[in-house]
Amino acid sequence: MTDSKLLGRLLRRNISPGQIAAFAASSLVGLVIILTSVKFYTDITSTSSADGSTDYLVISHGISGVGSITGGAEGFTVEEIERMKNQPWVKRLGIFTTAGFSVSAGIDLGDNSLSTALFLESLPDEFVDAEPSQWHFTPGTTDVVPIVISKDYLALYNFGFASSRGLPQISDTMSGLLPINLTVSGNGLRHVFRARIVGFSNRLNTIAVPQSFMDWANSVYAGGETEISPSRVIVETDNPGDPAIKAYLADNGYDLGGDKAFAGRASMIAGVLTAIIAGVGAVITLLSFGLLLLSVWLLLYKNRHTTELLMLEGFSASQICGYYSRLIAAVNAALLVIAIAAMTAISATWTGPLESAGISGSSPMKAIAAGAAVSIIMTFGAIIAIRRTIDRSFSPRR
Amino acid sequence: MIQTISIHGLIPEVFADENAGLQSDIWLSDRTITIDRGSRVLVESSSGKGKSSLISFIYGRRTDYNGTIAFDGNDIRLLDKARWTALRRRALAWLPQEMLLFPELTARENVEIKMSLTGWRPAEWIEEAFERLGIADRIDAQVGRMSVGQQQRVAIIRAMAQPSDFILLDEPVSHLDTESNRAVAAFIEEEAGSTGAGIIVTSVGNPLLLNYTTTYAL
Repeated sequence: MTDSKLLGRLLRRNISPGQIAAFAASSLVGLVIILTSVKFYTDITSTSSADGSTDYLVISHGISGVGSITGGAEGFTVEEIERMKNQPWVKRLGIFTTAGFSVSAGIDLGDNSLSTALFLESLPDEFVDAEPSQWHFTPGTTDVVPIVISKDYLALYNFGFASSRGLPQISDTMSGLLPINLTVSGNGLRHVFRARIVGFSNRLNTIAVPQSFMDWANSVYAGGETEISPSRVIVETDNPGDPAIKAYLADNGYDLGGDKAFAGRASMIAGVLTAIIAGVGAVITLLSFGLLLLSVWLLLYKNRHTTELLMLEGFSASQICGYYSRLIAAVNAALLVIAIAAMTAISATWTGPLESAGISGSSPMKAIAAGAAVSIIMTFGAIIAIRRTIDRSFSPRR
Repeated sequence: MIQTISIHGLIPEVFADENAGLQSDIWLSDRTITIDRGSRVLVESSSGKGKSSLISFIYGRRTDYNGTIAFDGNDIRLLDKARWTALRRRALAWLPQEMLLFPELTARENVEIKMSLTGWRPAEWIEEAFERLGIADRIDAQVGRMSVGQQQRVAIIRAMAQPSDFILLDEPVSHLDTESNRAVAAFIEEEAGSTGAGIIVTSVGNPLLLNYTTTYAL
């Protein structure tokens, strides 16, 4: 019979299956709660949302009321922009350029023509969710101005305007074929451009034209007018639910465009809730760790005669610790595997509802890493406790 | 390897206060007592004079003494755990008076667990040893079910299942008849002879039958 087998037979005496079961049950509950809440949190704050728009926030300078009456535009100062760029949650920042000239657009729909005064804005190309091949304008050579408009506007037209006026409804694909005439005037000049809708945007609640067109048109038709300070900026961020964003906007009196403000609030509340639940899981895990330590001490106390004798025979403290360490590592590894399986099963119950809310699931790696970290800390904590206890019993008796 | 064990001014702490009428060759000895590898030393006394304490001090099991014990001039109080572990595997064979076998293991397993540590002697050595000491029929019995005399012989075999420079035997034959005493003595003498080990034996008047080079009264 080998050394380790005989050693194991001596050392496993007094191991109480009841105590192991009690530790395993409580530790499992704690681990499952921690894993599941981390998974839930990573799921709901997952940036890969279905419509791909949560990465972008449109922030507008607040309107104080006076400005709206006098017609004077309030905008971000250069310092304000710089300050915002330096916020940790800002990955990239783009400034909206407003048109300093009048624009009206006409659509010829056979019998019905539609013409309206309208506004244009532009923003750096990298923020526009349009095909780059279609998103350019070179003065003099390009005769069609590409336009991206908010998807909301299309919906507004289709369901609000077209149906009440008996106008044809327009689909995404059809819209590209619409012949649009943009009439631009200002600085004593007037010119008609052909324009084409190249896309509908979820992240932009505006009518956008390429920056190159805007810069050129502003220089020609707005001529010499002092530059208007921008009143809206677009920000790319990793976590639109970050509470710091909300706080920053509130502190500075900025407004957030679209319904992302709500998403941010909701995800903040969900974040707080999951933190509380994860906290409960952590407390249970801590208690189970206490139970593990007590069981270990009790076992070592019951077996102290054997361990002392083994060390008098010439066994090292590491050989004796090794047996108990392997046992605890094996139990904890098994518990981790079971907890991961439970987490996977539980998270499957919310994947459906979340997906229908436009949130696709996240990778379980963060949750698994959190569980593994807890498991490893518990294992090493227990091993250190065993080692210290056995080391103490090695010291010659006084 | 340990060549000499030297003892100087040694006294168990429990005796330190009442040493007035102490008559001992070892306790509080002014001169250094040196025990060489290869020697045969008998430590004799009546009960309660600290024989087991002396053996426990030398084996590093207890440190509740004043004075100095040294291996080759090195104070054994300064040895660390790893060193003691190595000495117990390679240099010091020990038979405690209370034997300290594992009662839940068989006689054979009690020896095997020591051999697994030392790798000393081939496997068949165990059966030969049990045969020589007259307990071959009990080799697979659980130690907890053996008589004290049988257990004493198992413990002696276990103590021999390792290389050694010194063999410390605390009342090794207290439960054995003369015939068994002779068998044990021959066995130990042979094992010690193969390694050149020194032997330190304690006794209350029924010593292991060896040819002692020195006898101390404790």
